[in-house]
Formats: sequence, C-alpha cells, structure tokens
Amino acid sequence: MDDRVGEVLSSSTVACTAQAPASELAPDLGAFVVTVSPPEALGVVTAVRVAGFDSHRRPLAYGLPPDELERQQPQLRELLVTEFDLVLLGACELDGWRQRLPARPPRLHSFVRLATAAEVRTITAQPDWLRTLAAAEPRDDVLAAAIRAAAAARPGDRQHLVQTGRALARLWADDYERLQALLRRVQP
Amino acid sequence: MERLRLGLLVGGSLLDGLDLKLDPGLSPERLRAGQYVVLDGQQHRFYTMVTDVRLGAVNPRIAVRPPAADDDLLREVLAGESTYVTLHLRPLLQLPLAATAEAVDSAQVKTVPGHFEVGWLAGEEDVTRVFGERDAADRFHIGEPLEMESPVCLNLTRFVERSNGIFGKTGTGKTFLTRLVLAGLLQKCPGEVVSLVFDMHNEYGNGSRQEGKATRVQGLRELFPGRVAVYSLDRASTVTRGGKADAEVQLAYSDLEPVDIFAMRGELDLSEAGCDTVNLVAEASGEQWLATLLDRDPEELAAEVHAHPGAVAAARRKLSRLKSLKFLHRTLPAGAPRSFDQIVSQLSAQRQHVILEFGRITSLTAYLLVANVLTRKLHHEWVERAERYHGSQQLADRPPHLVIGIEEAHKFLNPEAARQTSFGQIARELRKYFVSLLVIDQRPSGIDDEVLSQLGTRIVAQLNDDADLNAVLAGTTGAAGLKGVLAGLDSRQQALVFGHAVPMPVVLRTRSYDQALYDDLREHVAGTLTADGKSDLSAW
Repeated sequence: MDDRVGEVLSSSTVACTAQAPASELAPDLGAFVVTVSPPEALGVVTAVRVAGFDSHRRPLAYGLPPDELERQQPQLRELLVTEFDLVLLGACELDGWRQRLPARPPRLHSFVRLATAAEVRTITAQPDWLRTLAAAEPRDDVLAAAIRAAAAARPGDRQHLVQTGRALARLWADDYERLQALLRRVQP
Repeated sequence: MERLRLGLLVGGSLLDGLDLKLDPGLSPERLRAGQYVVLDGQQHRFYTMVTDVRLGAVNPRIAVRPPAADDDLLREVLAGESTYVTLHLRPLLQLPLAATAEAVDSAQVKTVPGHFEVGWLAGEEDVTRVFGERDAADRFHIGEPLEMESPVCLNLTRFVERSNGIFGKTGTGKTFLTRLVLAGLLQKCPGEVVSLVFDMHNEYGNGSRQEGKATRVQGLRELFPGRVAVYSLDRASTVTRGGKADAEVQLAYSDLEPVDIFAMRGELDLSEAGCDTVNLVAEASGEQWLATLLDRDPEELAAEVHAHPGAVAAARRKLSRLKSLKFLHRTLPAGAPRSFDQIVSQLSAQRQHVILEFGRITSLTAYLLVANVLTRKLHHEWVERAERYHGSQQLADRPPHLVIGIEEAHKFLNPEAARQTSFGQIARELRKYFVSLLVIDQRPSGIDDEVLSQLGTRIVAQLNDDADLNAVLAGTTGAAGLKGVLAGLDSRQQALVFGHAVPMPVVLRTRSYDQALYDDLREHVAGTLTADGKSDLSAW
C-alpha cells in the first residue's frame, strides 16, 4: 500500500501508537489519519517521536554535518525508529464517518494512512471533536495544529474557523486567556 | 411580508422591560431607540419599543483585555457569542393574534411573552394594524414612523377628549405640528370641534414664510376657506403682511377682571399687597374698577376703599402699563361690536375656528392679558352652555367642542398662575364642559405638574434640558425608557407622540406641510357645513 504513513503498534479505543515506515514519511503533528483495518478509525496525531531501535543503546553525537553523517554512517537510518501517537475521534460506521470512539480498538499492525480532505471536512463538520481532543490532550499546541489541519481541508472557508473559535469560546467560557493564546496560534 | 429577525427573548419583566439577545452577526447599528419590535407569543402579538441597546460580555476579563486591533479572528469569534448585544424593549401593547381593529384601543399590555420568543423588527402591516387606516372618519394622518411608510394616525375623537400638549425647543417644528393638528381637526371634525388659537407669532391663520427657507406655507384660512376666521389685534400689521383679518379685537376696561391681572402678576411686577388693593378697588367700584384705579386721585380713592394710599399709588403705577396697549380702550366707541361676543358667535353659531393674530404687538403683557380675558370669558360661556345641555339633553343645545391653543403656555400654567387662571381650571376639569387646551410650549418644566399629568396626548419634538424631558414624561408609565427615545430625536420633523390619542408611543417623521398635504386636505374634507353652521356629519 502506497499511502501508508504508519503501522499500529499499540491500540485502545481512545488512542493508538504507530510506527512510520521512515522518519520523513511520518505524519505531521495535528494531522488527521485513518487506521485502515476494518472497522476504520480516525484520529489526530498528538505526538511524533524518533528514538534508537535498541532501547539499550543510546544514540551518540557524531559532530558531522547531515550530508557527511549520511555518507559515513549509512546504517544509522536503519537504527532509528519514528513513532507517533493518535487520539481517536471518529469511527467509520455503515453510513459513514461518525464523531464517536470506535467500539473496538484498531487492530494491531493495521496500516495508517492520511485522511482525505473530504474525511477531514466530515469529521470536523460539528465542533464537538474539539471537546474530545481537548479532554485527551492537555497541550493546546496540538489542538492548534489540528485546527490548522481542519482549516487546510477547507481552503478559503473563514466562517468555519470562526465557528470553531466560538465552540472553543463556549468550551473555555471562564478561560479567556487560553482562548486568546490558542487563536493566536491558529491564525493563518 | 418581509420582516427582519432580530433575536430571541432571553429575560426581563413587565415593569422593567424585556431583554432580547440580538442574533450574532446583526450589527446594533441597524437599530435605533424608538423602533418597534414585534414578538408573537402563543396567543398574543406583543408590540414593544427599543428603549436601550446594551453591549454585554460573558466574561468580564474580555473587557479587561480586549482583542488587539489587528486580531480579527478573535474579534469575530467573540462577536455574538462571548460578547453580545441586548435590546432593552418596553412592552407597549398586546393584541390577540386574531384581533380586530377595534381591539387596539383596549390592548394595554398585561403580561409578557415567554422565553425564547423571536423578536422581529415591525413591518408596515404591524404599524397599520395599530394606528388604523388614514381614511377612517376620526383618524388623522400626522406622519410615519421613522424609516417606514405606514401612516400613523391620531384618533381625533380621543384627542379632543382631553387637553393636549405640543412641546419642543425653539426651531424644532412646534408650529408645524400645531398647524397639522389644527388642520386635522378642520378636515375631519367640521362643526363638532372648533378652536381658538392665540397666535402670538402670526403663524397659523394667514400664510407665512417657512423658517430658514424661502418658501411660503399656506395658512389655515387659505386651506379651509369659510371654516377659519382670523381675528387680529393689529389689523394694519396683518394687512401689511399680505394677510386678511376678518375682524379686529378691541377690549374695553370693563372686560377685565382683577383675576386677569393677578394671573400675570409677575409680568406686571405686582405684589401680593398690590393684588389686595386691586381687590378692594374692584369691590367698591364694580365693572369700572380699572378706569377708577387709573383715573382717580390715589389718596382720595384710598380713603374711600380703606386702603393704604401708598399701595393704591403703587398699584396704579404698575397697572398704568396697560394704558399703552392699543387694543385696550377705556370704553368702546358706541355701536362698536364687542369682540368677545363676535368670537363666541363665530365659534358656536358658525362653527368656525378662530385664529387670533397679535400682529406687531409682541409684548408678553398683551398676550397674557388677551389670552386670560378671552379664555376666562369663553370658559364661563361654555360652562353655562354645557350645563344647559346637560339639563335639557337636547342635541341642539350641545356646544361644539372648543380647543383653546396657547403658546408660551408656561406663562399661564406655571404652578402659581395655574391656580388662578382659567387655563389651569380647564386643564383639570377635562371634557366635562366641552373645553380643552392645546398647550404649546418650549419649556414644559415651567408648567404645573398637576396640569402636565392631566394632558391626554403629548406630541414632543426635540428637547435637551433634563428638567424639560422629565416634565413632559410626568405621569407616564415607563418614563425612563421614553426619555432615552426623546433624547435621540433629531431637531427637524421628528416627534414622539404618546398618550390618549395613539394606542402606543410612536416616534414620527411628521408629515411635510407642502402642496401634497394641501391637496390631500382639500380633497378629503369631511362633510360640508350647512347654512346654520351645523355639520352634516351626524355620525361624528
């Protein structure tokens, strides 16, 4: 499968961790992705990590420019692993995508692909996903990145961005500064 | 019918008014104090007026740290959701959803609609439903609500039932409003209602130049030939201005009574003691008291009436100012008609309106004296006629309803004068004797509260002084809301009308006094006067 960006390594009904085939293929923070094994589930990338393949061997600094490092130590690429975490927001049911958690966790080793723009628009049509994501993920930057990704699926639709902002204003009615800071981060 | 949806009712009370939350995206700039908002409840349609527009925020911190000037997204996000606009509405009327036109008169608001009823900006149809059709027999079209085209009509039957007031500071169109109202009475109530207007500035009877403009406006005499008589205190001036006077007013000393003098004590600078002295002289000399006081030797007179010679001399000195009044004669020439009798016959037999012009006589003393004397006499006359009618119950005995128009009304109706003059009495006794006042004034705060509170319908153009604003609203419910509306009036062609003759307060763009109005008045004059001056409008 060509559009693969990862493979599920651990899974629950609320979150997953997946490994990217290569570090440059890993999805961005805040990207909407789909675990493709039936039933499909849709989530947002909340963290991306790169670490050594062997947990007993710590990577060491070589002090070389990137091109030189690639030439002298070509095996390094194979020794590093890129992983990312997902928070699940939606499940694919018989009649299409629904903003609800999947009934069962995505299957281990199922592939992960990027969600299409149409899928992103469907899942973010109602602003309730913000509540799910905000509850699972304490870092507002992740939320900001996801809102940017949702906006990117609707080029030129400023009204949707405003509606999303209003939903957050309701969610954080007593935390005006948090809203203010977040909106600064989603400005196009 | 297209109506603009404004928002949802979110709170409020019958006494304090309702709060309508404006729909997000609707700018408060589209609204204005004084506009009507209609809410359809389960059984009733509620008419309310915008009295206040408020900006609110769910979180007080928003006011402390408002969005930066260039932070458009935050502004848009907050607008309508975290920051919002509330309209404060004053409930005015409640009509059953399937009400007939007659229901409007008894549609006082008694409750409020429930939560989350939708508020709409009132449409033309809503306004027509309340103010009636302009062609109805006793309705007179005086203008349109701001930014609307539906006519607002005065219910003239109710209008003449009580004394009324037209207020506004100088240059805001009091004269036009007055002329319009008189034209309405002339057009719609011929024979049933007559008026006597003390026209201090020669503006009503004959045509006059419009303030600040080169155009000339037609006087009531030109508009309603045969229905308006112009009397003048200064015929020469009336003729010079190109007007016509049907008669000249002449008063004799014997027409005056001490009470006429007392009511203008301030103008004459007459003390309490002076009034007592005048009384003593009047008791001793009867009808000729003024001639006696002005002609006789003060000391001799003082001895005769048991008054202090100094006081008599002082009273004589003060009253001698009256000698300079050209229309006031020691005795009228033999055979000269008595002006008062002429006016009474004009009003009651011929059922004509009388405009009394003062020409170049601009002194307040003259104005007060003439108005006091004639009104006192007319009031006596009408009381007598009314009592005769109440006794006989013969329609033929019923006097026409008399509306007395006075300018500078606070001079007659200030708390001191209101107790002494007939004006105060007329204002208080309502329609019992078929006489009511049309009070025209730019300083309503000078008028006695009791008189103000008795005014049935008030037509108010722009006023700025706080005391005046409070005064015109005395005795009205929900005055605070209307005050905001009043303060927002423009200085031209706008007026707030409220009271007995309109079902609910209304901010008007008054009808222009122009050719279109002349044509309308001439074309639609109700009925014709028969030879004996009685109206053929039996229904009225």
